[in-house]
Formats: sequence, C-alpha cells, structure tokens
Amino acid sequence: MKLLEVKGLKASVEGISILRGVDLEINAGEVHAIMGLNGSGKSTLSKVLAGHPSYQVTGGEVLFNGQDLFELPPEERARVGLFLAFQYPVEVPGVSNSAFLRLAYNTIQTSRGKDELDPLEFDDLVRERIKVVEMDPAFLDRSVNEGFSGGEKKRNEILQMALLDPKLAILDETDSGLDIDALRIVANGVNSLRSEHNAIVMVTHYQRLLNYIVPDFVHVMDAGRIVKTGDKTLALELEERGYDWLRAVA
Amino acid sequence: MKSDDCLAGLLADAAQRDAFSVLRGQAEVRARALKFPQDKDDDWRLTGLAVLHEQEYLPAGKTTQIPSIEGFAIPGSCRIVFVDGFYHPALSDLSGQDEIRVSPLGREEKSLHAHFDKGMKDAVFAQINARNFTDCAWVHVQGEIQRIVHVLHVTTPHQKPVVSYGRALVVLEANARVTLVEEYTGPDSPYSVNSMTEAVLGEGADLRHIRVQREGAQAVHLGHALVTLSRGAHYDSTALALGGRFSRYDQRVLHQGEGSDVRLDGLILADESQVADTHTRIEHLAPGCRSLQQHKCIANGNSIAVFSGNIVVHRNAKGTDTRQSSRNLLLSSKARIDAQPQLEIMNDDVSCKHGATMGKLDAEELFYLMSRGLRESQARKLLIHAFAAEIVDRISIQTLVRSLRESIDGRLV
Amino acid sequence: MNTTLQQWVDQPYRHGFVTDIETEIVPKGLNESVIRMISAKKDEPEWLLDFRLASYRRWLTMEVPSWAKVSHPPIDFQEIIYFAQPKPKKQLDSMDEVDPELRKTFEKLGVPLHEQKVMAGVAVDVIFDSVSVTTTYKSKLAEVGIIFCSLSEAVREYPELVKQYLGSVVPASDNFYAALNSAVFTEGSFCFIPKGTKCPMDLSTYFRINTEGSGQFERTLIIAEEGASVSYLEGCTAPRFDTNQLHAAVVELVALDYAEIKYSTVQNWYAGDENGVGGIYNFVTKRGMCRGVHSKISWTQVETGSAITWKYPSCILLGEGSVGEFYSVALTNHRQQADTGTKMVHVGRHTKSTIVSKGISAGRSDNGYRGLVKILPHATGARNYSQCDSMLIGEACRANTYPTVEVRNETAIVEHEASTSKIGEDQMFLFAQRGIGQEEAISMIINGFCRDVFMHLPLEFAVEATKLLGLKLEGSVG
Repeated sequence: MKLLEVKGLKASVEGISILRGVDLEINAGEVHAIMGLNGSGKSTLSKVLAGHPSYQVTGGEVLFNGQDLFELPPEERARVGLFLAFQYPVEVPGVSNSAFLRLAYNTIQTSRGKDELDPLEFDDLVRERIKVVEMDPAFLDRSVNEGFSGGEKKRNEILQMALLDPKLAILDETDSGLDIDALRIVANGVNSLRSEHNAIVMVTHYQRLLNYIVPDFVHVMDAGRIVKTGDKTLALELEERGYDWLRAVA
Repeated sequence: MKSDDCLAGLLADAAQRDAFSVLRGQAEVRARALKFPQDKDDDWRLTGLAVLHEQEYLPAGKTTQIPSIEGFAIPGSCRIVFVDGFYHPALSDLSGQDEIRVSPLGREEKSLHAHFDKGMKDAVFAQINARNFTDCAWVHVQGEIQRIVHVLHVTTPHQKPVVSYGRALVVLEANARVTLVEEYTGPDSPYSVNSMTEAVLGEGADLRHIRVQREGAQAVHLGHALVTLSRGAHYDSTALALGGRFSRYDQRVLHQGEGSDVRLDGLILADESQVADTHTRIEHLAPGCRSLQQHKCIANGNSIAVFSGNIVVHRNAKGTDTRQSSRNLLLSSKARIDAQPQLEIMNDDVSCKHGATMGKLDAEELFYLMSRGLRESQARKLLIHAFAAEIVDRISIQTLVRSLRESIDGRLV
Repeated sequence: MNTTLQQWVDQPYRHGFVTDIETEIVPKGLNESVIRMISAKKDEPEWLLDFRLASYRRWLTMEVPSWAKVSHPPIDFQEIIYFAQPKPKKQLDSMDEVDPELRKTFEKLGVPLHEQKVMAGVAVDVIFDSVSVTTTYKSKLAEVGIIFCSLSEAVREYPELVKQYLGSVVPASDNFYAALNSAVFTEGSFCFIPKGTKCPMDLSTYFRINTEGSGQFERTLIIAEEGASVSYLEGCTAPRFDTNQLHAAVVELVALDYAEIKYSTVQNWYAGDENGVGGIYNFVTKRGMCRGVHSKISWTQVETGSAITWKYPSCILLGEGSVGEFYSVALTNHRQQADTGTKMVHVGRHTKSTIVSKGISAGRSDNGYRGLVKILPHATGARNYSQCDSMLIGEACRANTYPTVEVRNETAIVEHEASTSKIGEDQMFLFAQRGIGQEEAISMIINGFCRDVFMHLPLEFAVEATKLLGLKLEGSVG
C-alpha cells in the first residue's frame, strides 16, 4: 500500500525557494535512495517532511498513510510513524540519554495505545536494542549526544529508530562522517530493522552507503526537483559519470 | 597626596602644541571629568591605589644620556627605541622600513590620523596619555613586514621621579601581517610610565603582539592597548608583566568584523611587595567571532596579582565562541591573588565558557621530583617554570624566550 | 525564537488576587515617629526601639547601592506604607480563630492553616503583610525544646535570645536595605534549635504581601546550637498591582559547633506584567554565620518572581572545618531583572564552600550571577568549587556572570567554571521529531539544566519548583 505520496511539493526557507515541485511515492517494504549535489534540496525534503519550523511549505501536498501530513505538528508526525535520523544530531546538555529515550518511547507507545514501560523495564529493552548498533551502554547515562563522536551520534540516531519502530524512516546523510567500520555497523543496524511493514529513505551524496543498504529505487534531485529515477544501477552510474549529464537532461 | 592633586600634577604643564593640540585639549577635559580613580571604583577596587598617591612625578624631558640597550636586541628585527618617551634615532634601526615612522607627523599620514585615539575614553590614564604623549610610533603595514617590529621603551635614571609617555599606532591594511614586540624597562629608582598602543586590523589582517613589561623595581607602569578587528582579522597577543612596583595593563579588543579571531595570553609574575593587575575586555560586536583567552598569575612574597577579564557578547554577535581560562599560583602565605572572569551575554546563539582556578604548587608533583633527588627549591622552580612556560613558550622568538626564562629565573631565586 | 517557546514563558501569575480584608495601616512615610509607632503597636521593649532608631539614623547617612546591574526609578521611601496588619489584632488561641477570609487566602495559595491538613508534617509560620497570622505545630516542637514562633512573640517571650543574636550576623550598618529593615522590620520568624536537637520536621514560613503600597520588611532569625540541625523553607507570593512594592528582608542564621541549617526558598513574588509594570522589588540580605567548628549552612533558592531581585545569600565560615553551600536557580522573563549570587567568606581553617548557580533568562530580561569567594589569610586548607551556568531563551535576554575570587592563603584551592547554553529551535525539533510535546521537552531540558540544584531541595519544594519553572516559561520557548 502507499505509505507516502508527495505531490508537487514546494518549500522555501527564509523566502528562498528550495523545493520546486517534488513528486515521490513510497510503499511499505521499499527502500529508496535520494541522491544529489549539495543544495539540490534533498536534505530540505527530509526536514520538510518531518516538519522543521524553519521551512515553509509553499505548494503541493503530502499524504502519509492517506492522511494530510501538513495538518500534523512535528510531534504528531513522529507519533504516526515518521522518523528522521538527523544529519547533525543535536546535543542536549543536562538531559540524560536514557531519560530522553524513555520519554520518546513511552510517548509513542501511548499514542499507539500501548502501555508505558517503567524505568526498569525500559532499561532491559534499551540494553537489548542497543546491541543492534553495537553501542556502549555507558552512552545511556550521558547527556543526549553531548560530547559524542560523529559515529556515536549516528549510532544513537539508529538506536532511536530501533526503539521507536517507525513506519517510514528517513536517514538524512547518515553515512556522512562515518569511517568504514561505523558505516558497516550503522548499515547492519538499519538492515536488521527493515521489514515489509516499513519503508526507508536514505538521503545521501555517495554510492558507498548503498553497497550496504541496497535500495529498490534511486532518485536524483537537482534544483529542487526529482530529475531522474532508476534502480540501484543509477547510483553506480552517478558514481562513474557524476551529476552533470543529468543536469543537462533536466 | 590627595587624588585631586595627583591628577592636577599630571595635567599641570601646558599641553604640547602640535598637530594634536585639539585632541590633547579634549583629552584633558575628559581626564578632568573622569577624575583620578578611587579605591572604591569597581574598576580599581581590587588593585589598590595607595602607591599612586605616594609620589609626585615630573614630566620627563629629552635626555642626553644614551642608555645601554644591550641584552634587548632581537636579531633581524627593526627597532624603535624611545628614551623617557622620546624617540631616539641613534639607538633605533628603521633601515629599509618605509612603513614605520615616528612622529611628528607630516601631512601624508592623514590616513593614519583617522585611526588615532579611537577609544578608552572612559579610562582616565589613557586620556592623560592622549594629552601628554611625546612621540608616537606609527606602523603602517600593507602586505607583510617580514622583520619583527621591536619597540623598546627605556626610562633613564633621574634625580627626581619622572613620568614618561609611550605611544604607538599600528594600522594593518587588508591581509597585512606583522609581528610587534613591545618592551618596557628602566632603572631601579622610582619613575612612572604611561603607555598606549592602538592597533587597527583591516580585513584578514594578522597581528602578533608580544608585550613584555620588565620595568625597574620602583616603577609605576600604566599600560593600555586598544585593538580593533575587521572581518576575518586575527590578533594573537601575549602580555607579560614581570617588573615594576605597581603595574596595570588595560587591554581592550573589539571584534568589529565578522569571523575575526583573537587569542589573548597573559602572565603576571609578582614577588615581594609588587602589585600587578591585568584588566582585559573583549567585545564581540559582530557575528561568528572567536576569542580564546588564557591568563596566569604567579604571586610570591607579599605581592598582589589581579586578573579581571570581561567578555561582552552583543546582541547581533550570533555564533560567538569564547573560551577564557584564569589559572593562578599562590606561592606565599602573604601574597594575594584576585581573579574576576566575567561574562556579559546579550544573545542566545553563543558558546561561552570560562574557568578559574587558584592553588599552590601541587604537593604530589613536588614530592615526585624530590624523590628523584631534586632539592625542594629546584623542584619548586621547575614546577613554576612549567606553569609559566605555557604562556612564555608560545612566543616563537627564541632570543626573547631565552631572556624571559632568565628573567623569571632571576625573580624566583 | 519560535512562538511556541515564547508562549510557553508567558503564563499568567496565579497568586495575583487580593484578599478583601480590613487592614490597619500606619500612614505612609518614614520618620522617627513612624518607627516609634510601629514599636509601640508591637509593644516592644526599650532596647528594641533603640535598635530601630539607631538603625534609622544610620540609614539616613547611607546611599542607595549602585553597583548591582539593576535599574529602576528612584524609590520614594516616603511613599511606602511601613506597617499593615489585618484587623482585628488579637492573640489567637487556636487555628480555628483565624479570620475565615485569611484562611481562604492561604488555602488558595496551597498553604492550609489547619494542622491536620498541613503538608507532610511541615510546621508553618504564616505572615500576612506585617504580622504573623499563625504558627502551626508550635506545641509539638516545644516538647523537644524547639522555639518556632513569630519574631514579635520571640521578643516578648525570649527577649534575651533575640537580643543576643539580632543583628549579630547582619548589622544595620551592613548595607542600605539592611539598615532600612533594621529600622522598620515588622514581622518574621524566629527559630531556636537547642543543643543536640535534630528538628523533627521541616519548618516553614509563608510570606504574603496583600496591601497595595505597603512594603514588606520581615526579619528572620534562626539559631542552631551545638549539634542541632534544622531544615527551613520559605515561600512568598503577592497580589498583582501596577505599582512596585518594596520587599527588603533580612535573614540571619547562626550555626554553632557541629550545627547544620538548611534554608530553602521558593520565591514567587509578583514579577510585574510583560511590559515591566508593577512587581516586587526584592532587595534582600541573607547571611549565615558558621560560628562553630564543623558547622554547616546551606542555601538553596529558586527565584522566579519579583520585578527586581537583588539578593546574595552568603556564608561567613568562621569555625574550623565549617561548610557553606549555595544552590540557586534564578529564572527571569519579560522585563524582570535579577542580580543574585552569593558571598563565601572563608575565615577559619579547612573551611569548604560550594556554589552552583543556574540562571535562565527569557523574554527581555536581565539575569546576572554575582559572586565573591574570599579566602582570608588564616583560612589554611580552604576549598571552594563554583559552577555558574546560564541558559538563554530567545534573542533579547541577557545573561551576565560576575564572579570575583580573592585569595590570601596559598594553601587554598578555588575552582570556578561557567558556561552558557540555550534552548534552541534545533533541540525543540529533535524532541518533536521523537514524538515529545513542547511542554514535556522544555520541562525535561530545564530540569536537566537545574538538576544539580533541585536535588538539594526538600522533595515537596522540588516538585513545586519544577512546576513553577514550567509555568513561568510557558509559551516562551519554541
């Protein structure tokens, strides 16, 4: 079934138009990659879908499970199953990672009509899920992302994905700044969370990540539009030929 | 002497008549309005002003003495020597450096004129300097001056205590670079020095500024620096206060251009009955600027060392990043150190941290060194050197570092 | 700053109502006859009148302090009502005799005057304008020798104790507002914990300013004798008036050998409206004297109200091995100004002090920490650790940090750290993206930021403080 339908989406930031008519359709069970140069609008697309307040939607519509996504405030979008792994995970000094994870988890559980977990039960759960990203449990006791290395921050994002069990996970440049080992761990984590009920969108510059998480579709963005869609071979072609030939087409 | 008399004494002689007469007149009006500082003034509360009231200082005249400046030479540098506040051509060496002039000014320096006396209007001693200064070193840099510019202020022995005024204006045009070394020295009899250095950094300019105050044991030294940075400029300063009976250094740095960068290092080494005070103020007026400050005080004998460092982040200075550290070493039970690391922040997009520590030599470290056969005095010296070295060793001029190490050694016997 | 954060700070003040009760007031203005009138109304002994008059004469020679970073129009001290009390004034024999209007007021404020309903066994002294309304649990405390009553009652019943300690920590000459308080103080609480006694319950005073145009000048005196210990809580509210009201209190604590006093405040005086109209000027002198060896005084404050706060709860660490602590959260919003902090004066050997200050500024407010750590020559082995963090919410607020460290003993170890942080749009978006609503997100961030202070508050107060900060900031973040 259709999980996400993006139709003619236009958006701007500080009055500058970035998205100029994006069309995209994603079904449960699929993995999509969105590629493109810096400034092509791919990160903007992920932030607009998640509802970042700096971006204004100026046209088009987005349906998530048939529901108008823009009617929902950001926290509601998360509760209906839209997850964004941040390109630059935010530090929150003073707030312990485990308390944050538990609050997020319980909020989403409640919205799904399920019971909350008490701190002890949650601790068991989180220690189980943390294995997915091979993260040291010591990071649970530290402040959210504070003083984490780039790789640790990205793992912490995937841990949140593992806990919140989203229907649609958007990974915004999750591969940037990762060395090869960290990339493998993060990719393994994501793969283990794939199912026929959820879908994954990877926003990335490079083909590298796609060796580990193999996409069903590859979209190329340029100047705020999707200019070409293909299968995984398109990513390889991009790696070889660069983006210029597509721009000419567009 | 009463405060009013101190001020009146410093303003007694008619001001010099020259191209700066108007400015001198204005400075006098300001100085009189500001009044001589009081112990209760916030800005002077920690310093204590008793010493300034003890002595009357006569304005220094031009001397015929030729002081020895041996031991101050920095190989390869060009040198400007001021004796009792007056430029001394015979001791100076400006060969091949057209960018450097010493006043009186000709018409062609009009462009420099615009940068002259641009701030510290609230600092009474800076205004007294503006009224009374004798000669001024003008350093105008376009491109890069490869040679170090070495400005040496020497006071000569006098029968009666004199006060002399040093002044420098350094203007760096866009992307210009220069290293400036300022040194202050004099005899062990009483005298006073009041100095003012202004530096204006154009876009992308880079100034390395090293200031070494090693005045004589009875000297009163009142130093000022005002540094303005344009977009992308870089200012790296090391200020050492080693000599004098009473010394105070007021340093202000203004980030006026976006993305400018400042590093301020400072060291006070005070012993016996010395009073040494550094007051710095870094103002962030433009977005995306950084400042990193590290200040250290070492106080021995019954000396007083003061560090007051104020960092002000103005409303539009988004993305400001500041770090300030004040580390202090108290070596005697009669000495005193005061530290005042202050932050004033007027917008939320900033990252500011400061820290201050106060303590004596680490007993564990002392014990460790002594267990390896060092005498206690040697071990102490070694640790104090290590403490000072973090500041001193960032000076990349080897002759100067060597002589500073000797100075510090001599002070710690 | 986005509007959600803004809305979150802009919560209405919930204690701004006025109680309609007949009040007896002394005509506004200050002179010797007003002081004599106050003293006569309270039926005070000669020595106390002399103390007041001497303080008043001292006050006349003093100047309004100008060093704090606060600004307000000059206060006309002749426009203030120095004494206001609900009528009729008569000795109450039991709680049931309290005027029903008053009782309703305090119930509305969450301070029930019936011992049966009293919060978790806390003894409360309730002060309404210039007089003490009632003190709960008095007799139970008396069984273990603890005196807990209003200061006026203490003057009548225990004059020698009051005479011995009043002004011994904060002399009238200390500062302008302390002198004023010493001349005109009307009420306050008095606690005396005798030797070796651990106070079996928390003691609490609840202050309420009701009358428009009146000042509040309470004076609290707490004495813990050798080996005694007590935890004392103070709460404050005031109605919403467009005029500024002056609150100039003095609190003196004395701890003898091995004694321990823990003093906690949740200050929620009316702060004025969003344009800075009205609100309390909170100019308070609080000081504790660790007079005995190994004594300990601990200040914890949550400052959320008042148009202007000028307050530095301090410790004089006289006794060898004595300990001073200061834990503070100060929140300012709209046009509020806070200049608050502490002084730790290390006199004795091996004295220790800890300072943890958390400032939160929102709106167009001005929030400053001002601190002094002074190590005197004989304070061998003294230690201090200070941490001052600021959180800024929005672009128009200010956060200032003015610590001074003065060290005259080379064996001292003093450390000071400060940092700034903000609740940024990106943090709020992170919480939202994980499904967490704004209020919860802000409360989590604020609690995380204040954790090191809240952990030192008694439990009921910690809960109240968390709620209060949430209310105060509602609408300002986001």
